[in-house]
Amino acid sequence: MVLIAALSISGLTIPRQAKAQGTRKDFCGILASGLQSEAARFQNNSALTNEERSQEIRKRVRDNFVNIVNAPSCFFQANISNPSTSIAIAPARTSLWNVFGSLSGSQQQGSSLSSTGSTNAVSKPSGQSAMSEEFGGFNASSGTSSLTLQWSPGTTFTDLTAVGFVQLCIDKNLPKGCISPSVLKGLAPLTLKVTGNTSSSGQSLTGTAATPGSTAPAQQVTVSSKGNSGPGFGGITVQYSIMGSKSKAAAAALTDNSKSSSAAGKKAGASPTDAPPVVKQYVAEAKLADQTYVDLDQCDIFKAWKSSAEGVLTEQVGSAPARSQNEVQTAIENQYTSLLTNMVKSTSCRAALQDFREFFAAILEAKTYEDFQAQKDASKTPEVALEYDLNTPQNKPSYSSAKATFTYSFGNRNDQGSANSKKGDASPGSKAQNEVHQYAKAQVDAMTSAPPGSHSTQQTTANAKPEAEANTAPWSLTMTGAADVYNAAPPSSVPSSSHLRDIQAGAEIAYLFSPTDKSGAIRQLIGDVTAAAAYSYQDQTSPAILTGAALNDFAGLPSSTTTAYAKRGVIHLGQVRLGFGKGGNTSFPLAFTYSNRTELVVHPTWGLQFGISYNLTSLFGSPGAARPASTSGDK
Amino acid sequence: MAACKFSPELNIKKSDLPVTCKIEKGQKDVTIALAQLFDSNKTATTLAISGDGQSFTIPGNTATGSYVLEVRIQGGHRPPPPVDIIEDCNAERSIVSIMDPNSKLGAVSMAVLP
Repeated sequence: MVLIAALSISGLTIPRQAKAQGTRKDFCGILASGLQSEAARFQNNSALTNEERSQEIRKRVRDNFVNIVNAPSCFFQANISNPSTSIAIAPARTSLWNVFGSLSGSQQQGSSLSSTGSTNAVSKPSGQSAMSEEFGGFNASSGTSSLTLQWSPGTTFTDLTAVGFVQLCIDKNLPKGCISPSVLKGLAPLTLKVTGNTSSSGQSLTGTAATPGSTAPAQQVTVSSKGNSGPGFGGITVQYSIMGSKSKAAAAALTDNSKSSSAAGKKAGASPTDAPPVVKQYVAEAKLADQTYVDLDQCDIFKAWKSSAEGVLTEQVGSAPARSQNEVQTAIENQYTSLLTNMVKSTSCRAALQDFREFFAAILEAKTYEDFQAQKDASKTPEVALEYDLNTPQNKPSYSSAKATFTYSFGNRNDQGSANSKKGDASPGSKAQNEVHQYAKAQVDAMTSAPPGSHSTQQTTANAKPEAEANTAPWSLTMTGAADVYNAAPPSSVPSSSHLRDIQAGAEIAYLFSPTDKSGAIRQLIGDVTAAAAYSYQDQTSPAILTGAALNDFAGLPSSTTTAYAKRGVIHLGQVRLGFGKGGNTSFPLAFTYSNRTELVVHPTWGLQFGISYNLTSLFGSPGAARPASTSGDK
Repeated sequence: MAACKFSPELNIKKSDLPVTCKIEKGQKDVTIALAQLFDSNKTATTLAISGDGQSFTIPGNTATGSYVLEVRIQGGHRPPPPVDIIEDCNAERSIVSIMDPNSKLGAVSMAVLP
């Protein structure tokens, strides 16, 4: 049931590592070099008059430097180092790489609050653990004994920012009502869950005789229920990923491109720009370029800047003797930095800045290949989360859990064809590359089939899923350590009791099976299946305590008894689990659990647990709208 | 070589249409992927591209007015050197030049005069 999607700006194609090496083969360097070579061409042309030379050089400067629509990469790159301005032009773009990692078998299916009655012996970092959260909704997972609603507020705000309902702050309090990038990143690893007990294990019947004293063999009685008869509060969970949070990576990608860019540039030779382009994408680019071009005319700062900037750079480019490329590049970068810094302060430039964001996003949408590479790297990052649970089990004292979880996905899919694919290298003609290409086409079609700005995360997710499944690391390892503490001191009459209720440790290994193109119809219908094996160790440092109405069911206890306790010990629990329907709206975890004892029962027990997880977001979306349109535009 | 129809300011008389623009000098594998004229209402007209992808034509029925001409190229080396789009009259006079290796797109203002 788990799917993660996110937003990313992408400076993915900016070859920052080259700059770090001092070669300055970056986009502003390319622009400086291009302008200088053009200027040299005219200066060496004896057929031209001095005025004609000057005119042509000035036109090249005007076309390729002053007109920032024609130099989007350099304009963007020149402002990367200044977060407050780069955010203004950093495109909010649906990132695809998180989708892939999200389909890992490491994700939680069902409630994680208890082990013995749950389909999960080991809890995991949740993050965006459901499609519903991805779209800012809520997720409900109904297990054998609980109903859990969970929400990731950071994801909600990230998605609202992506679709334009909430604006990212480009400066303090600008624009009004904006959300700060740091707040967004801080919230992203946070997950909240509320669990309700839905079973009625504590419920039984009681009654009184309607005719006291009667000795008739058949008696009328007045019957009432005893114990909880409906859902009750089961607990809350607050979880925060302190390392490797994919939610945080998504939010960071929206506001900071530096990490992504370095990952992508390493694979320049396999960039999708080498693949046949898609004309539909160019149409979207051109439309947004025109929009930006027109709206720049309304920007007072830009209009004031144009003339002076043209003069400054024409002098730099056309000077004799020629300036060094670094000098020209520095002049370009300084001009662009100054321009954007002033533009973000001007209300008349707001439309142009927004246009530029969308324009640059359209350009980068074609760079899907880098997304794949970045995702492959990110999915191999272990995730560590801290969790606090408030548990209020029926007929037991409430207690709190402090938990640390670690999860790690690894391995390659067996169905990836060539050796190169298995190494994650999308060499030409390999299955991995074909998947990338198909995915890029779906992205472009999805983007151009709707007006700019209306492309939703949901569309991207749906389109990406088949390819995502094919690129998901199938193995996942999860380890958990926890300590449970009673919220109130247990009665002193309970021997060996203390605030510390128990300590736990557990591990789970899981493998995600997905149908392939060659799979039969039934296998395709079943979809993804996660197989998992888990072991959990729990040392009861205090005896398990029983309170409330359940005590009435124990024979021989005096009516004055308010607390009962069982013999404490160590619980060894093993579980195997199959999870069906992963990634869909509904999933069905089915588990078989065996333990040497439970908290109360001192002899071995086993059981089958069956859970249902449902994505409430499907109520609000139309899957049909998410299908890619024709890809005929691809030559 | 024919006389240039575009002025240095990229104005062209309607009577001089149609006009053909082309990639200035062949860079291997560079072709024109898309050429569009956007009028002041932001309405796009897609221009016909030659079979070899080396030129496009602004048709004779283009109305008088101000436009933004946008040309998107494809192919070529990474990054491509500057690509000039010129009228087939003077190789030194660029209609628009393209230098951004990511967008590979050039936009420029032009006008069709009565």
